[in-house]
Amino acid sequence: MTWLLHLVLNTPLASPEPSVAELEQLEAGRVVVRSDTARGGSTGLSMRLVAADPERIWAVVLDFDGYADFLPYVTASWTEARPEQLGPGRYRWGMELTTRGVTTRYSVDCRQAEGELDWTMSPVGVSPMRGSSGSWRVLPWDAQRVLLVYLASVDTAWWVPPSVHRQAADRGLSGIVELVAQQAEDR
Amino acid sequence: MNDHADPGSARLASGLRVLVDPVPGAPVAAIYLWVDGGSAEETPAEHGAAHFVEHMLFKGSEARKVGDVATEIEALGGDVNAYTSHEQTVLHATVPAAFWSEALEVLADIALNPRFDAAEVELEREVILDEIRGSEDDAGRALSEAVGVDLFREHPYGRPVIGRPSEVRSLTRDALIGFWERTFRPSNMILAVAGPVTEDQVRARAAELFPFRGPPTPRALRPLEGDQRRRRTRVIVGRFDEPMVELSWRLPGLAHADLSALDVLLSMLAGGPGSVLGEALQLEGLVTDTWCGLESEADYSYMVVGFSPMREHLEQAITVASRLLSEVQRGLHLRADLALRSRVQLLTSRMFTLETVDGRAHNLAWVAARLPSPEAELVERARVEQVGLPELKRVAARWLSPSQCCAGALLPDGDFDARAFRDALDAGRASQRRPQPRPAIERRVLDNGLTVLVEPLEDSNICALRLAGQGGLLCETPGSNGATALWARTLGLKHRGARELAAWLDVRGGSLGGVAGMNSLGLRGEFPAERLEDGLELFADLLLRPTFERDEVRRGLAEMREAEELVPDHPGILAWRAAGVRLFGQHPYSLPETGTLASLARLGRASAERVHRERVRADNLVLAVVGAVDPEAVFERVERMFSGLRAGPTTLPPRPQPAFPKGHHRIDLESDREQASIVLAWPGTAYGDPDSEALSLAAGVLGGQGGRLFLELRDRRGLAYGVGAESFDGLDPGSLFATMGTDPERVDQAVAGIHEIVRALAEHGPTDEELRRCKQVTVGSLAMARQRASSRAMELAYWQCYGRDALVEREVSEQAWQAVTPEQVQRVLADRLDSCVEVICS
Repeated sequence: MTWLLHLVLNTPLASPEPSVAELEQLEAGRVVVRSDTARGGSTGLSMRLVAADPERIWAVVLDFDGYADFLPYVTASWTEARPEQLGPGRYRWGMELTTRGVTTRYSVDCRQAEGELDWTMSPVGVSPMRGSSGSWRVLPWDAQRVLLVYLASVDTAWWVPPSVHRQAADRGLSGIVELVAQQAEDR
Repeated sequence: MNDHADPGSARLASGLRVLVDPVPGAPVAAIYLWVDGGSAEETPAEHGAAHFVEHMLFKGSEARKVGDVATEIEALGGDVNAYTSHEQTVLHATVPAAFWSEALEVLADIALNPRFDAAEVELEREVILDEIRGSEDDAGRALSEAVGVDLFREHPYGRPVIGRPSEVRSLTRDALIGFWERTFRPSNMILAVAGPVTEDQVRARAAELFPFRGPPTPRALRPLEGDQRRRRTRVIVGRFDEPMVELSWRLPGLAHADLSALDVLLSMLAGGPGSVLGEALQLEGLVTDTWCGLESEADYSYMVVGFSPMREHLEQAITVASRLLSEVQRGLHLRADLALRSRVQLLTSRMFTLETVDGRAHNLAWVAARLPSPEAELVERARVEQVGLPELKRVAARWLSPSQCCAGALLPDGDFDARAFRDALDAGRASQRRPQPRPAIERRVLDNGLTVLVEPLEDSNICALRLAGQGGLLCETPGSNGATALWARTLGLKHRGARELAAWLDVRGGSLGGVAGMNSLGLRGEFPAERLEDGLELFADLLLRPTFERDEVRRGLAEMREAEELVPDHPGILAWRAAGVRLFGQHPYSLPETGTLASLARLGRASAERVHRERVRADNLVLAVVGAVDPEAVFERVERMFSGLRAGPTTLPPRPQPAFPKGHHRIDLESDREQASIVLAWPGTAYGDPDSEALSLAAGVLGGQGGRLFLELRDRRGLAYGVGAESFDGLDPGSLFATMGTDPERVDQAVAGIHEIVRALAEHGPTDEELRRCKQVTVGSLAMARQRASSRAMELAYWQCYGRDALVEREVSEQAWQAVTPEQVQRVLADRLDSCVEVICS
């Protein structure tokens, strides 16, 4: 499977080959995180093997209205438009994130193609975040499992301390894949 | 899709709120303990108690004797301090990272277990009364306090935090203990730590050190301010020679939604030379300075706009300022470029604040005391970034009303009195018109001889530039004295005047200044890293295509003369200058860096041009660039931009050696200030002198909060509020000196005390423990300073400029400090005590 990882991880962030340690982590059921914080933005990916078929995973990822039920800090989420209105594979949805007393509303545009869903997210109103983009990818692994990969790139205002966007990206990366994977395995 | 992990409740079982900013790799850690209780919490019988209690925390605890606190922290290589405001008492310490836990234990102990020894209370009462006397000589403080009385006639924010002399005299020990018991409970405290520590580590240690002492103290009801319908004015005439004006407005407390926009508005009004008042007053030569501030507290906020008028333009400056403020209230002068400049300034200043762990810990506590979370503060900043002209005009109209202004002035004796001040304000309104892994340092010498040093820092978004060359006072004579300072003030660009330059810097979030020192001249600049190219280009333009505009030179000289005429107001400066003249004789170190009235009368544009022609030579200069930079990119740009700079000759002019007269020389000067100033000076060492470090450590044993002078003369004998000792080195030998401010009645006692302590050190030397503490202080303070890119750039530039090898000096100098022995300190001090100048200004 390393050729597949090579293909998926072919981003400036990823090294050409997954390390032995990363493969061991995946096999042990743990989330592998790769992140890099450049000045003014954060890029990273996280991945985990999931004991579920791709359809179950996509059902969780595309259930935008259900995000508030299992993602911490998402205090509300709703679907605004579906492929029927926007065209094949396109979605628009919104959510409210509440972190330590601060609520920010976001608008998210998605486009789904085979095995992946690209998204871009913009804050609505005042926020130190400029926007972010990324994608979900679901790749076959073996008979029982698939590889769930989450890529995200976050842009913050120029005056935000590097440590803040690094923390935001790192924490988000490790948490979200685990929670989506658990949902898919439990359903 | 990305969110922040919430560490859960920040409160421990004791009620203490714990906040941690982990900074992996930082060399130092900073600890802030915020106690929710300042002077506004005092009852009428307790006025002055909050500040008095803050002093008493350092006067012994159950486990510590008087003086132990500073000594212990300094022995760790850190520093400790405290301050009191209307709403908080704050203790803080910064130490090398390995000792954060020890430092936290010290802060917890003094906050929770102070002794309030009766004899120490009486000694400290004298110290505080002396502090009040000193503050009465502080013009800015006197004016702010006077205006504060009008801003808050009912509410406790109108009272001085330090208390009034009569209140401090009548405070009882029981009242102090009562105030402390009520406020110094962990449930009233915030602990903020920044450094290479984890939240779990700090919470675990804090849980051990801060036991439950009761629930949070309910806040007493405070009187509210009534409506203000007319302008209030307050004038102090004749107490100070330097005129100063402040205009203040009371605002709602810190939760109010208009405060972000008001912050931007204030900066547009008076935030530096590019602001509305800066352009109209400072750049026109009507004032020497403008400033502004917005203070937000729980119950009320207030904003202040201030300026220091030139004495011959008093009336005009006040009239113009009043007119402009009134016009701004009606929406005039609020341009988009000014708004952009102010927003960038506000956001950039925060970036620079967060460069050090000290700034980060302070910010953490500050935010926690005011806002629901650090995220809320980021949103506040984002709000600042989005403030537009319509909102600015709305808040100006709402809050900048002339009838709700409290105006205060310090006026020198003369015809322009309180009545004239009010008339000028009215005339203005009437005349309305429209830390990380240590990277390597790289060095390259260009073909023309310019030395370039680059130190990349990884976890930074700032770049600092520093240019230094030998020169300064060392090249001056009594006739040309002040020429380098004039050069530094007036160096400008041919195609970009002072206003344009100020605006150019503002929108780029940068700062720039000329530097004139005793041994050098240069430039300093700080920019967001993405503006490195702009910063280098600006430096190159200033060096290669300088101009000294006639108007700028005229204004610069006027400001220097104004400052010089006010020197008699500052007995400390008078005493220091008199000591310098006697100690150095004909050597240039006897001259003031900013010139004398006689020399300034002779200086002009040609003087500044001559400094530039003679000292700004490529092979005399070192350029240091530190921050988020790529060395190769810097070298490429510098080579391209600076290759036109001409080389030498650059040798320093011949000069007499310092006099250092044998024997004991006393000079008495007269002053009408409340506090007497004392300076004692002895011959010092030069850069590179093998005794230089030992003499500096001798000064450390004497000075500093844990030093002998402080412990004996202030803590044990209650003789002074401020006392210290320092040594300065130059390219030629400098000086060791001790300074003290004291009650005029106790001058002889104080001088005898200093001599006694210095002699004892020269006879017996320091103890091993004292020397170890001083070495730690030196190393620790260097580590603290090196958190800032600007400090690192300065260090590199000066080392290279003064003949050291900047690539290895950090290591070499630390070894030199550590190698000093007690015997060497004793000998170095004993060698120079037979030449002493003693100046008393009383």
